[in-house]
Amino acid sequence: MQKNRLHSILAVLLVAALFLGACPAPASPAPAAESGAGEATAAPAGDLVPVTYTYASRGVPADLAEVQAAMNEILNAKIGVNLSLEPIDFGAYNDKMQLRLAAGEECDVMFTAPWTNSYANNVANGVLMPLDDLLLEHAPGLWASMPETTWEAARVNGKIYGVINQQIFPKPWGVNVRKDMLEKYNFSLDDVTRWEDMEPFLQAVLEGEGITPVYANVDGQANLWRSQYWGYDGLDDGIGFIGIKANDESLTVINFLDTVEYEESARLTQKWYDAGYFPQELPQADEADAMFRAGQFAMSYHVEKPGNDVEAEARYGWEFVSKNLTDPLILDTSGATATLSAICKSSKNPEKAMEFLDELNTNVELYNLLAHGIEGKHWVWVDEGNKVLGFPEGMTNATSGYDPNTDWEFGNQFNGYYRDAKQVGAWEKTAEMNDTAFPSEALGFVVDRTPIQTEIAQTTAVWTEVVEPIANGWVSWDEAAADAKERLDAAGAQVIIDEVQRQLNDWAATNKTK
Amino acid sequence: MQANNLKSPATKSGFFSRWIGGQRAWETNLSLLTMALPGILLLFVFAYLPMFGIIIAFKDYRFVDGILGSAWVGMENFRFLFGTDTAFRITRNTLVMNSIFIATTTIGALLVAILMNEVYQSRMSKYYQTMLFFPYFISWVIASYFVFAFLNGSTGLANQIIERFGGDPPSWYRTPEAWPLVLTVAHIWNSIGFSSIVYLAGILGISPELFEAAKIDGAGKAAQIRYITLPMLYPLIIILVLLAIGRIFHADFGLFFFVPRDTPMLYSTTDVIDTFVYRSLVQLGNISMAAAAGFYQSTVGFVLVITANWVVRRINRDYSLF
Repeated sequence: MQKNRLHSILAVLLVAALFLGACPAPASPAPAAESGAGEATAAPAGDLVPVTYTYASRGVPADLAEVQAAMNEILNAKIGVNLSLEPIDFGAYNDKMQLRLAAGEECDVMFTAPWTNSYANNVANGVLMPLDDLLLEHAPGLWASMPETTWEAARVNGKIYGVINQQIFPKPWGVNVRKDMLEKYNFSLDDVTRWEDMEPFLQAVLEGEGITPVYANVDGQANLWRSQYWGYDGLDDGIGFIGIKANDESLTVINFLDTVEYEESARLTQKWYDAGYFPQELPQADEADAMFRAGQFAMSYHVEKPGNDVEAEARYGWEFVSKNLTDPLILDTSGATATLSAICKSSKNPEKAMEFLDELNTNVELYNLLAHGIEGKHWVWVDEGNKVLGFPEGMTNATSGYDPNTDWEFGNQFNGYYRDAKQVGAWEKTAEMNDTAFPSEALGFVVDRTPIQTEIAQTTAVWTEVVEPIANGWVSWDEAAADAKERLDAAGAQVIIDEVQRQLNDWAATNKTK
Repeated sequence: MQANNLKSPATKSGFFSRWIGGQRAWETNLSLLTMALPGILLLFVFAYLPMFGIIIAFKDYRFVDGILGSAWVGMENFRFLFGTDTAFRITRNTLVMNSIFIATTTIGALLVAILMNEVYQSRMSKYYQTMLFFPYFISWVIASYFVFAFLNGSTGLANQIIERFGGDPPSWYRTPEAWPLVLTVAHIWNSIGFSSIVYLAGILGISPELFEAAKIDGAGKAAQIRYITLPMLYPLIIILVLLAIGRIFHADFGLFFFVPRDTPMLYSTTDVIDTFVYRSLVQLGNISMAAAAGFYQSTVGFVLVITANWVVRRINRDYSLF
């Protein structure tokens, strides 16, 4: 009797143990929306193929499920895909995606970029699906929507791993200033051509308002170094310290720390930091946004693409005046690949995922559903002829149930409707900037990180710990630069420079002969 | 019983019963064993099965190829640890900070327990205990904002006080040298209530007759503490310290990650192995390199526990853990 009872207990426990052992490890942080909005409407009907789309967003919109349902109406009928939207908060996006991808969790389409959920890193880690064949077979419209030279920018080691979202390609770094502040302190942006021209205004705001004038957060660079502004092509933003002079035909890879421009930017940043123009302690990204909305900043440094003032107004609730200070505009690979959609290697249905990408980039209605929500509910036509939309009566971006304000993240932005009459013509202007920007000598070259992963890991650590404090003006250039260079070298900086130079020379040999 | 058992080795419970000392012992201990079983299984599933994953540290792990299918790369993944002074630094920080924590918490908790014992009869004692114990339940994420409120540059309480007294306030989040102190204070704040209650229980267990006899012989408070309280607490202190040393290579992730706000400039004194492993994983997305760092932690931790135990056993066999 007793023995039998023991056996049954043992058996139960053994089964439990096997079950525990066999279950996959608890999924790494699941995006908040996955269970909520994602599955609310995702019951696969018939032989629809499920496709997930993961991207970064500012919070999870309340009406996400409705927008998803509306998108599925189009997708179900047209390509037999049942889409689940999986937005993840911007601040958490990089960490969550890197963990998910490292764990091999299944995903289909996702947002990737040089600056979050790193494209180069993902390629080196082998988590992205090569897209060349898929593009030709399943997305002819998408393939034809961009010239082949643009596609080149997404090519690593001969293969395309990401679909470039068409939007602004060069980086017009400039200033984005609150209009009320400009008027109050009687300052005009007309004569501003360089960062330092802003100083009188910043001083006036600091003294008059008692606020920190310049927006910065832990994720954005809290300094005045922007490679394109200073005339450099950064080659790989994730490595951070290497690049070429954009017009250098000899394609010599240099360490930014050795350039006079980097020194100048660090010295200027320090001056600003000491003067109190930059925050003394960097807030988290969402804290900083909230502070801007509450009026605790007067301006930000941003990519001043056409129509950016309207995007910024929707985000921070102030009227803005923008001005680009980058001249000449430089078109480099990281700019052309600033936002991409990629398909995960773990995807079970890459063909359908590609068909979805094709639709998203060519179907204007579908794209605007994702970018702006449902007509009549989230927006109404203000001027249908010019494709300008607005909020329905009595609604603002704060009360709207769906206003992601990140259309550049989803696909071809030129298919987008304008948020504001002021924006009309912005896409044409943007396209013109893309065409007229000065192409970097290394445009189209992408670093293959695979052979130098160890060195990148080491130099990244030194970079964040030792170099960024100098760039951010927290420690003085004279005191710390020599030591920083030394530590960067010890961490393998030269190995990286040599390897990238070798890759660049190989690339030039095959691509620059024309 | 023994003989009976040997005759029928085919009994289903034969192996187990011989293992634990015969049929009789088997039957007597049955209930105890059953109670221990879930714990043993959990230990097996969560502590022994995952050891298989150690091989990831020696592979170029690609999830498409699987753990077994990925290519072997030897010690390649360890290069980023030992190529610079990283390994030395995170090891030093982990060991030094945990040693400081063990010392300060033990001494502080003893002191608090002795003081608390003196007011134990008073009405306020429960209030004191609760106040000291309370921080133990506060998450480090929240505590990090307390610390930030004290130390941040523009509006921080600490700097305002320093300025009031005419001092030159430091920029705390840019001064790595200050952080061993800040973290120690934060750790004491968090843990002293818990540890002191253990010691207080120990003190209450000491026979009051000893103190009475001492008083009659004319011993003052100091003498009582020195000659009665502390010697009686000795075994307890040693066991608690040994347990802490056993975990000396496991830094408190919450404390080291959130309280310094993951500030790169402070890494030289606040980066410990746990935070480093986490960062390698989320920044590089490279599971092999993170696994290599984790493997390093386990190895050194293992050696350390064995050594600590060996040392204690040389001093006094009874106090060693195994």
